Amino acid sequence: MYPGVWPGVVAEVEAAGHEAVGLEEAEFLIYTGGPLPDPLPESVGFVQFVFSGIDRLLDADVIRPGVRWANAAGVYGRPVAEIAMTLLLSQLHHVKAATLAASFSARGPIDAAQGWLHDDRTVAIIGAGGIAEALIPMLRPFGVKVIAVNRSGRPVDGADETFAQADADHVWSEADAFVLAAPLTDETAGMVDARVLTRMKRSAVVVNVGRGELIVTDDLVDALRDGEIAGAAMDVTDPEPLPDHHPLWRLPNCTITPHIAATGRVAQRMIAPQIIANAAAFEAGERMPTEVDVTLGY
Amino acid sequence: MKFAFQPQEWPDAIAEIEAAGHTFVEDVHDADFLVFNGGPAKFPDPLPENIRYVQATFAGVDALHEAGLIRPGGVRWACASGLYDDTVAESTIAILLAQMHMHKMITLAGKWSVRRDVDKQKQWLFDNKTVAIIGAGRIAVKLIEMLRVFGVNIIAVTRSGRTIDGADESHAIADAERVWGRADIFVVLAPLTPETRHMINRDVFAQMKPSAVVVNVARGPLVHTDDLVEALQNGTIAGAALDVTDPEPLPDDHPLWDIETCMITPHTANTYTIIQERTGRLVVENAAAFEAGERMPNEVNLETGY
Repeated sequence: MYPGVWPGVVAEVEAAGHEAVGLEEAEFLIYTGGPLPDPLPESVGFVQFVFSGIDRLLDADVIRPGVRWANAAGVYGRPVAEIAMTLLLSQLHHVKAATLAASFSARGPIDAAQGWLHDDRTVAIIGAGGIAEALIPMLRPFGVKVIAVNRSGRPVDGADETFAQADADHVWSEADAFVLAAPLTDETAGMVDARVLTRMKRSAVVVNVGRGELIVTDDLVDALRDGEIAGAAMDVTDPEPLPDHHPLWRLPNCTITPHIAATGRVAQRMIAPQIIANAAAFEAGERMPTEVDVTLGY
Repeated sequence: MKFAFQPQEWPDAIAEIEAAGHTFVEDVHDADFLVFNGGPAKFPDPLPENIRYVQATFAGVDALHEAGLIRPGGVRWACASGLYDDTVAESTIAILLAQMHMHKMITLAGKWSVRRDVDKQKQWLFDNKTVAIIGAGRIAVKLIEMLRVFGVNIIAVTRSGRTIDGADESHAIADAERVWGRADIFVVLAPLTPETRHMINRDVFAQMKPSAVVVNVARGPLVHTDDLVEALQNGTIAGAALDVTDPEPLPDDHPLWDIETCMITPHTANTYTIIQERTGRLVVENAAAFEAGERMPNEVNLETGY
């Protein structure tokens, strides 16, 4: 395990029959982020990254040809879905606006502006994969219609409709709430820009639990200030960390949490079973369940 | 039937009631029933004899009961119980989650560097939590559906201890001391009565886990406010999320506003927008039962006031 060592994870992986050794003798490497030796020792058959988003590793050339990679795609579906649900509800119910007002006199405007999942709202999940699988059951009791959008258009369990990204342009004007859960790729970068924000309903709320760069931040600031859309709620931002003086912090219709959906604390508790499953597939000469396609970027 | 609509006339609701065959009249002396959407001070007292029943537009009519306007032997009343179960349950889980994920603390900090503290202190609903619902009625049934997905254990507490659908355990309020030390989250949904006033007080906080979170969307006086301030300041419990407070409105200089573990929304768990949208149908359904000589679906028990 390198460069960070998480004792709980090491113990769980060892309990499955593997042995923790130094990098020079390792057959696979559990990688927590940061610099990696170049080249990696030849003994290393695959690198298991403990988070899901590999965009920054690709940009920094940490991921290089010659070694297979696996990530944590889907492992944090439940925590990230809980964060998405929390952001969506907190924004609809104006928790930030009430907190900033710090006065009961805010009741009138908040009452009038309050958004609801009840009744008959449509929620679109953009980048519908493992997070969507956990999120859709959480949305169900509210009686919403769920539209799933993903790269291939492969049907997502529990979604009322699924569209391929290329055929999903009409969704921007149809849905009441959007949950962005896509990986950051050349195709998804800046996907929510002024053009898309203008097409959304004025009551729309945009939640981002994917990557900050999915949204063009300056366009979002304008849309929130001008009332093009009702609100945004984000666990990821661009730039990240969001600077202290950034206007988004003070917009009452923009809920922000500082990338707390899948933190090291969460990863340490949840990643070991995926590592064990990937190692088993690797040993059996199969494709690992969360093996990364380096050319696609996820 | 002829109906009056006081003190505020809601045009959409009035139109919907008229569409069902009733006639709106300005003067309460000309009406068969009264739709009432105000507080005790605005109530026509004495009520003219021609009014056969009163339809309140709110779910909780405890203030009218306390003021003696709803009383045994008096005029029949219907309220809006059950009409807002889904919306109130939605608001409840919204502030519960926002509290667990520390949205107030983040907003007050207004900077990314709060991340480490939030990561350490925040709690996850999917993390084997136990939720106790104190005063488990129809809103609780909706809330339990929303909570179930997170894999929580649910304890329902009611006056009688009757079995609540979807709850893992049901207890009577008299046995609640078995619950205070076991749950991670307490959602207070009880009606306000002399027995429930200040039911969440210093003695109860002392029995709760230090990680406990208390959510109140029902009535402010169910929680003893000064005891809550003390419990939050001393770390006796981890947090509170309040849509209702005592006093209400909460004064701008009240210490609760500054406590970062105490999230407050200004009594917006149900909104006037939602109430106005749904009132027409409520009135029509109760009027139909009344005319048929039946008990109205939302008829108030004049003894208990709910």
